[in-house]
Amino acid sequence: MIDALLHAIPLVFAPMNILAMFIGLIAGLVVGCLPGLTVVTGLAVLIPLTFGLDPLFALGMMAGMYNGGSYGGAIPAILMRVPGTPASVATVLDGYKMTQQGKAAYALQVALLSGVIGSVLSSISLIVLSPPLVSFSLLFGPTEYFWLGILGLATVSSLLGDDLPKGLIACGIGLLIGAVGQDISNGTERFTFGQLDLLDGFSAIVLLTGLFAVPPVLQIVEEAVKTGMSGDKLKLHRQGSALSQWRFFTPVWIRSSIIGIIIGILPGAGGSMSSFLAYNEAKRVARNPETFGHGNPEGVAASECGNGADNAASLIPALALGIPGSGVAAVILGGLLVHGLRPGPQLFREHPDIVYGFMLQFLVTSVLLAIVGGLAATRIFGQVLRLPRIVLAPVILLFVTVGVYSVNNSLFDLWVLLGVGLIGYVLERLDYPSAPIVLGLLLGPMIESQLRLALTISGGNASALVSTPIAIILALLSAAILLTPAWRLFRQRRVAAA
Amino acid sequence: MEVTGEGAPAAPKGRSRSPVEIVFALVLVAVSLGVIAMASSYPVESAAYPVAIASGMAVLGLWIAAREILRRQRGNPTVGAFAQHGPRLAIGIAALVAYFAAVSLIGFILPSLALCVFLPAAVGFRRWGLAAVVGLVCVVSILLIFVYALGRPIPEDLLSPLLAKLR
Repeated sequence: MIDALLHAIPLVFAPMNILAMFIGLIAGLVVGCLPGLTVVTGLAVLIPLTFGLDPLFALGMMAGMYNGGSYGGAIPAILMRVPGTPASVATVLDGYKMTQQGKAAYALQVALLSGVIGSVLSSISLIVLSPPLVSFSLLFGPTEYFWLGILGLATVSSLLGDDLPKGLIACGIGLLIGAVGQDISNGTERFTFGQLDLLDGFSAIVLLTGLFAVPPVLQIVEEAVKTGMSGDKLKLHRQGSALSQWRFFTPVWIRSSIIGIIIGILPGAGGSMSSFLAYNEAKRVARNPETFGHGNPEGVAASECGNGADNAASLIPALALGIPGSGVAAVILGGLLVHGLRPGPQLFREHPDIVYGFMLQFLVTSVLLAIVGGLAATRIFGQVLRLPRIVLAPVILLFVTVGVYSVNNSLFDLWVLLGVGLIGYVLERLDYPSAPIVLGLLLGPMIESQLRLALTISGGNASALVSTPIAIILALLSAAILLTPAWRLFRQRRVAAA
Repeated sequence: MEVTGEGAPAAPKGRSRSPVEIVFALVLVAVSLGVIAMASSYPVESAAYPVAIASGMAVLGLWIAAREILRRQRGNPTVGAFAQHGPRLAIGIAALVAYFAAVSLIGFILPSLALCVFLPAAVGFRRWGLAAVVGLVCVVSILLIFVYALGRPIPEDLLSPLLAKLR
């Protein structure tokens, strides 16, 4: 691991890759601070644009966008009482109160520093915890990989939404889309309707862009917000230093980082959950919990630190096992596949410079965020908040169009993008989660091929699927996770009856 | 507090999207049955996997449709309208379809400029100048960064000969 890290350091600090991280951070900051746009949307727009570029350049931008977007959401949350991303909802509670008390700049500083510390610790956990998990996965054969894929689908379908049947349907849609194209084992064309463009199946990049970038465009058009934020709110002046009060904030940062990292690793959790849990924990142990919600900087620190801490951590299962811990991680997983990088032991064995470089990029962008997110930079990049949101809808579409077209030089892909975007919009409005679709699409071919391989090895004996201890544990875990919503419902009804 | 994010925008309360829930679930059932019918002509090893998934989806689709019908009968259908603002949604969809059709026919540049000006205008934004400037900056940036600097392709354009001369 140390050797691989040492090899990756010069690559990460190559001037072009540093530029990529800066671009990603700034783009993330802009996307994060625009209400209605999330890091997922930003990544969905970014990934097709990076197609064909050097992998570390592309991954540096993704790492920057993830970390930048994570903090960017705090800017409108603190200045406007409008969280830029779902994960910054808890930041509103104390952040906006601080703005009303004339402490906006201090609140932003606390948010930035806390986010940076959470992101740094999360990046270190990614670097330290991924390799052991990869070593463990070397024990896996086709049966275990089959169940691992099922476990990933079960967790994301079950835990990312409130409605298990809808989560499972979303997952099924992804699996079916993944089945389109030529069956590599016997050459049968499945669901191609004679279209040559579909012989290799749908492009994952086009699908995830359509699912995550087109619905926000329609959402912005529907909302038709014709005014931007007042420029006065961006006249920020330095108000004390959050860094000089490190003794005061350290306990909050440690607790919130641990919470964020654990939540990030757990599949199906992350984002708003980690920031809310960190906020609640800070409030629970505080000497003066009644001040939370009334402008307590500890509330801002806890929320933003927890939010930053789940970023890189959500990639631990994604990079090591190919099972993403969150919707953002699922999209990044798609981004890796677009660059021909299949997560898992193979990635660590064949491309150690890239995978360790990517992990280091998370660490570097976490630190660079302190510069890009500073007050002066916030004043500059925050200007985008002054633009009426309706003007941004076509801008997003333009970037998406160029990116998607350039993947295969295909107009067909643009129509697929539109179709998938419209379906994605309907699914969103009916509360079908989108992340299981992406995961089904990405994991489907692996699940099918590993299942076939396992059955071929066992001579068609299905009991071979539960013949090893790891396979049994993974199968039981999948079943337990799928039963979780039913158990929750049962408990709720029992409590209601009592 | 306005909370926007990954999920759907907050739809107006009071109205129910129940009919759309039922129709969509039934569409999923129909698509699943279609998949099963198509897969029946494939060799067994190629058909088994999609048939298994489609069967599950058909059952789940029926479940959701039946659940929604039962909720309606009990007087508590799923609340929240499907569209936040129907006419604007229709304008948005029409603009997207028109844009992609225009891009297919005359290329990227002119339809993109038109979209940047007319889409905001169509939903009541009257600062045409700002929309035009944003659109122009965006298109020029895309051309400079992606086409000239990175050598990425854009859909074949009416203005391609002019752009070639500018290179």
